[in-house]
Amino acid sequence: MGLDQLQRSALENAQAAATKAKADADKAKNDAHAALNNPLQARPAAKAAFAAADAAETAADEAKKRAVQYADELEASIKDAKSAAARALRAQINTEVDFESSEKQLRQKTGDLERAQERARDTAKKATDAALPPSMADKLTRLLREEAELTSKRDEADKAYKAAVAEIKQAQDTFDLETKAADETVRCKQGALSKYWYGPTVTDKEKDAKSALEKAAEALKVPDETFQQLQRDLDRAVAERQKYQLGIDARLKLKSEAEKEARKAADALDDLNRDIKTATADVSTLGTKLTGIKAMRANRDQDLADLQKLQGLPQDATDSLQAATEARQKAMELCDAQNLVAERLDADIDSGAVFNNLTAEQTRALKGFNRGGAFGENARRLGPALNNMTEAQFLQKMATETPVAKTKNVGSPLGGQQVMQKWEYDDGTVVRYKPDGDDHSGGLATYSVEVKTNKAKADVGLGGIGFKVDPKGRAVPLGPGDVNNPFPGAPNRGAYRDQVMQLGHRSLA
Amino acid sequence: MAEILFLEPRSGAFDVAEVSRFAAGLGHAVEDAARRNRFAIFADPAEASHFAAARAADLKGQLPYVCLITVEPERVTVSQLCEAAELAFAKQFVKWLLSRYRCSVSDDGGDDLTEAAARSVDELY
Repeated sequence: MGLDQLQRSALENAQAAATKAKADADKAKNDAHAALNNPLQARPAAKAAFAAADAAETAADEAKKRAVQYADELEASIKDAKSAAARALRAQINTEVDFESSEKQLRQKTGDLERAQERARDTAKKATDAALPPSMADKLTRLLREEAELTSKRDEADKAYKAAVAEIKQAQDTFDLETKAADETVRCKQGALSKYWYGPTVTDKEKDAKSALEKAAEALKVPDETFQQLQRDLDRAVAERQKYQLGIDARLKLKSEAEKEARKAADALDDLNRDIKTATADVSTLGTKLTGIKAMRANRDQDLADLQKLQGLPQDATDSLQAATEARQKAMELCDAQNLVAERLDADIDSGAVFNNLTAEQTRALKGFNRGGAFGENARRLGPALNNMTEAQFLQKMATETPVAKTKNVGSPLGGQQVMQKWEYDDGTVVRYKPDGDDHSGGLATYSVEVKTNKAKADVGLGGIGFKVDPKGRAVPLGPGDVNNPFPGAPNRGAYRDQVMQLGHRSLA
Repeated sequence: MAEILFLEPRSGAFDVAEVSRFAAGLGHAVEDAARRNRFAIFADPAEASHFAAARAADLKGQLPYVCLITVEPERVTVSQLCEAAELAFAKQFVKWLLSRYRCSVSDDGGDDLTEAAARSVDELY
């Protein structure tokens, strides 16, 4: 279940408020740090830091209130979302289990199918191998034809034979009948002969019957031989056919078995295809279901992430508040320290108490400068005039000055060399400009306004310089070694030293 | 006395690791969180701690006016606009470096101090 638009908008607003509060607080902190490094602007910067801290506090408070309010409102719906997500998760687990099981089944059945297909191919090959060779089939056809012809001939011969046999039988019957009649006649005649003699008539009839019988037997001999010959041919053809038939039967049997096996394999294939179709449909259904559940899980994850974000908001707001408070505290401390250090430094510069360890020449020069005469008057003028200028403004201003700039290559803090420019005035004033600045300027160009100890002597470097001049046109020490630092330890001692050095070593924005 | 000394090897290059090790062992040295092999050498441990914390919070802030040593293969820069206690570390460092390497020495005014340094390190101070 996702967050609705209103809630999401509220969440984003609260996040933006918290982020802004944190940024404000960070800015306040940075401003406070910056104030440490810029004594002249310490007070306004600290004020700005206070204002920023106040704004950050207010924004953080607001952000916290809103975040807490929205968190309360949303937590209930998130709770619902969580329980729905839990249910979805359980359903997903079940579905995934089903899905895996179906996929496993599908893989198994696909394997079975491949194996069955392989078996079917083998069987088909065997069936092809077992098929009747064409030459054998032709021979068998020929044999069958021959057998039919022989059978026909044999039947004809048989028929003729039977006819002949019937004829013989009939002749035999006739002969028997005639013989019987003759015998009867003979017997009668013999009986009569004994009384009346008829001998020659009976004997002729008998002779005719005998002759007919012999003729019939003779006639039977030819069909019998033909029949016998045909019978022999037929037996040979049958035997030969039988021989082939056996081979054919064996092959047909093999073919039949192979076909049976192929049918079985095809049936198994059909079954498997059906199973695969079913399993694929199952997988597809489960996939759809899983996609739905994944979407639910994504929604749940989004809800949980929203909840976490929301729960983190009050903490962010608290952090911002804490940062703002710390910034305010820091700003106050720094302001106190800066005020203390800056006020003391200002007074020490005015009184000259800031100096220490000055040489006689330096002391003389300082006195001469402080009298306000011509000595170093350009330095007194340029100190305030050059303050807060950009680099371009500085160069423009110096281009209008009477002395012509001299240049010299000096080491650059950025590596290599930089071209230092120097303007040397008759009144002992020297202005130096370095485009790459020094290690303290953070890459910004720097300049310094200095006064020599002896205006008549050409500048030979710091050895001939009495002091530097600050933005108020006052003399300040050349280096920390010349500073009479009233503070015994950190952090004020360092702050005093750094502030006075920054007054003599100016950075150009 | 020069505010900054530039020391460059007359042949080869500085062993940055060795020179940095020596610099890190001076006084209460703090390696600059914004730039490797740049060390701020403090005489006061409290100020060193204060600087380390402030620098970590704001890398763009200005560096303090103590002894700053920046070690690079072709150049070592010693920024010595500092109080006497820290200047002593700067001098110690320059003396050690010149004892190990033949260097060209110049200052922030562009003056060549090589001969003076060869005669005595004291001439630089």
